[in-house]
Amino acid sequence: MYRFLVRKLYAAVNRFQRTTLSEEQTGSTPLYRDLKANLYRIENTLGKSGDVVFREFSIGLETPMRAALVFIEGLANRSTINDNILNPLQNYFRTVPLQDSASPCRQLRDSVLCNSEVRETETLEKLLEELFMGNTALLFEAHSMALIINTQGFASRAIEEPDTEAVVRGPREGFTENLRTNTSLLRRKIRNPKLRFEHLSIGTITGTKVCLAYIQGIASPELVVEVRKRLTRIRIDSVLESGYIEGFIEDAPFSVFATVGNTEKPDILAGKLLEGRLGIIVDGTPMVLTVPHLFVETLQTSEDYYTRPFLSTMNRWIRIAAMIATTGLPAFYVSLNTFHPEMIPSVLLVTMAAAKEGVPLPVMVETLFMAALFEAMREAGVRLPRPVGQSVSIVGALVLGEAAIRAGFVSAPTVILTGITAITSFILPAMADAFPLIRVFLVLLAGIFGLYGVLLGVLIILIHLVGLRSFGVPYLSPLAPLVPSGLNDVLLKTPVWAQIIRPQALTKLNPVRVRPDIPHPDPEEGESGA
Amino acid sequence: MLEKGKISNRQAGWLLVNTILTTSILFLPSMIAREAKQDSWISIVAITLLGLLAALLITSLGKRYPRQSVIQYSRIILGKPLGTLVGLVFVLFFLYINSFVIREFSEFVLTLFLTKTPLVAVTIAIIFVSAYAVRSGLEVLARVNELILPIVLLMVILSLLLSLPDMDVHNLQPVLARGWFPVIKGAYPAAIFFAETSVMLMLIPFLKESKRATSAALKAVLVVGLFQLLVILGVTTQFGLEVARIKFPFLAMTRYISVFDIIERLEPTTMLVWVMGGFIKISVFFYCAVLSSAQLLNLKDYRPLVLPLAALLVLGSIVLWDNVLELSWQIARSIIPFFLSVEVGIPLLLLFLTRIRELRGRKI
Repeated sequence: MYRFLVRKLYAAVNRFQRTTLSEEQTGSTPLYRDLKANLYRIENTLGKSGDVVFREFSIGLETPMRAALVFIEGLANRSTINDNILNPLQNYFRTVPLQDSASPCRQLRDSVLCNSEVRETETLEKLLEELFMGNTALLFEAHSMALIINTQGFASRAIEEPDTEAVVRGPREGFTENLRTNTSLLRRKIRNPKLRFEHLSIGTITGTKVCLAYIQGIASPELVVEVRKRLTRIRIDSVLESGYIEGFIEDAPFSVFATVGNTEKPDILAGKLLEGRLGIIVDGTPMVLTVPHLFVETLQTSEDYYTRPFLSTMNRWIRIAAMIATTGLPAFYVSLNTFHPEMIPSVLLVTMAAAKEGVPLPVMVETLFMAALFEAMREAGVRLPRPVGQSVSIVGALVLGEAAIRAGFVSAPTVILTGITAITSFILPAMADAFPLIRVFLVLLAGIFGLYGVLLGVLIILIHLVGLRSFGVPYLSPLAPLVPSGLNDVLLKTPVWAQIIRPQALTKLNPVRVRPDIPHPDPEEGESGA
Repeated sequence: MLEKGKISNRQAGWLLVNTILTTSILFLPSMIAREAKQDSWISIVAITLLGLLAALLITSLGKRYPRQSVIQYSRIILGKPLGTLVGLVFVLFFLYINSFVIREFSEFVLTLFLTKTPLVAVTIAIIFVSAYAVRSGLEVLARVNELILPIVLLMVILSLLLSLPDMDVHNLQPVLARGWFPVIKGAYPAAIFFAETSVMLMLIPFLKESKRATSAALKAVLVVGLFQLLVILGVTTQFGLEVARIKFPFLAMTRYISVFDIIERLEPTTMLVWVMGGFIKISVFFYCAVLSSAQLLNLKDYRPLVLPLAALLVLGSIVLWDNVLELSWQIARSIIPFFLSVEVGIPLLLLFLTRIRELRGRKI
């Protein structure tokens, strides 16, 4: 039935795509020799947009030659244009004659223009594309050629600490919306010629720049080919965020578990690349995708690698416990209350029975209701402006929590439980989209079959999880299939010098991370060796 | 090949451990204690040794045909008509033993945890989950087991450790007071559990190193024997001669656990061991049943058979036995010769015939 629905959905999508998304013809229109005609055509193609600036002027004193600059206001940096293009063009030829008026480009590029990047183009499409990137086009009378000068200088956000992945210890910088800034942040982390950036343009209308980042010699070549293939297969009109890309390349679009990871921090991305993963940086968003994404990554944070191993290991276990609590605790509560009250210790049972006195709803409905209420408040808290957001929390805590218990609409244990579930759900932000659904699934099963149902539900989830793959890598690796050498970064977090090999499920290339022959700190010398 | 996935020898061993261990932990102690009394642990040691022999027999047969299952090579050994008949016997055996396990499983869940739920609902629920696992293939089943088995073993160890205060070693005395005969008589019903290594007859072709299946199977039997021994020692030292009268001594043991009056009534751990382990056991037999019938019918894909056989299992597990008493009588007595003759007898016969053929081939 499920498969049938999926197939129908695919068929519908395919039919729709065939009718609407016709491939755009990316032809090549050569430039005219006539300057006026060229400018007229650029202006017309852009529909006389107000932000396009045309600046006509003459070059040379004796035999002046008409030329024109075209750029887009706001994308190009005006002072660069004034100082490095217009200024030399006007001043240089006061003293030096124009050597060859038949082909001025060469002289201009070699000795006049003070700019690090000057290119030539002969087609209108290329010229327009460069304009949209903030570059400036220089056109000449009687030349069917234009110089493209790099003047990119649009406003962008500064490098800040991201809200989503705040750390106590570790670098504070985060990616921005600018692709170039992001690649530079990564280059600064990994100074190695093997770091590769492959650029693609995705989106027939938006033409968004997408960059595939990996380290040659660590990332497995088959994986690189596979990811490249999936990226080039994408046919869509626009890419506004990396989520668009994620939807197209993920292995299991009908699973609640994400098989593509994302991060906002260069150090995390660098770590992932060094484990043999690939990064997909999309222009216009600080969210960088990482593939393959495995389940255990949700239990790992960047700080685990920066702090001492004892604390990191403890934190790992707290996260595992939180994962179990946030998904299973409500279901456990419901099943104990409805089916197995004899399993609750007697003292606790009496207290809970007293608290439930006069509560009208069955426990399952009560739990689901409170869970839904919490999700609503969380969503409201995210969407509302900051000052208003506080009032939501006050209403939530005082009115809904305190008053509802006093009035006897819900029992206190349920509210406490919803609170625990809520807090623990924030410990694993990466799973925030999967866990609420799993919670509801298990609560429903608990309502039908009690503990038996909860265990069956867990089994169904486990079967689903072990069957998942992310780009060919089993999703639950290294837990299942068990890779003993990988467990030192899952159940334990051993010191950096003890993590000798890279995760074997991801790549077999260049496995040694730490040279084992270099001695680690010797416990005899008073250092803690763990 | 019907099954494209391959599992590692470790995964196969772990599957075997869970398949044998779960049900035997719950049922075996009282079954053995009925005859062997306080000497049950000697019965377990004896039966483990026999289990090792059975594992050796089964794997040495399987290793001779590393790319085929028993359904396929019995046709080679015995000829087409007779071999097909043996295949049919195995299919029926897997279906029957699985109906048996499912009924056991459901009755246990029903009587102890869900007294008001109808039997058929419990049965359908577990078979549905098993069918999902079987449909997903052997690799998935082996991986799920890799997650489940450590939890199951941890829970068993935890229950034993927390029961330590209630144990009294004097309950083991006197040793061998009534001679060896009761010990051997007690070991008899345990034989069918250890003979469950016969699932290897179906799994060996899907191992990454089929040639080294023996060590995986032997290790698995040893682990099962060890845990079995620990549990038997635990319940015997705790309950003494009462073990024979308690239906599920391990469950009773977890019920008695009380740490500082806060951690008490640990039946959920038994529940967890039972449901998780039982699921693996049912799925493994289900998988064997589905795969063997697909091979018998020369199908290209076993998945179309999953749902029909699931329906058959639901029906079988409910219709074949009227009540729990009939079930426990069968498991303790009447069914044992039939199971043993399929699990050990047929492989022994097949191995015998292959050996003869090998020897004769060498002479010529």
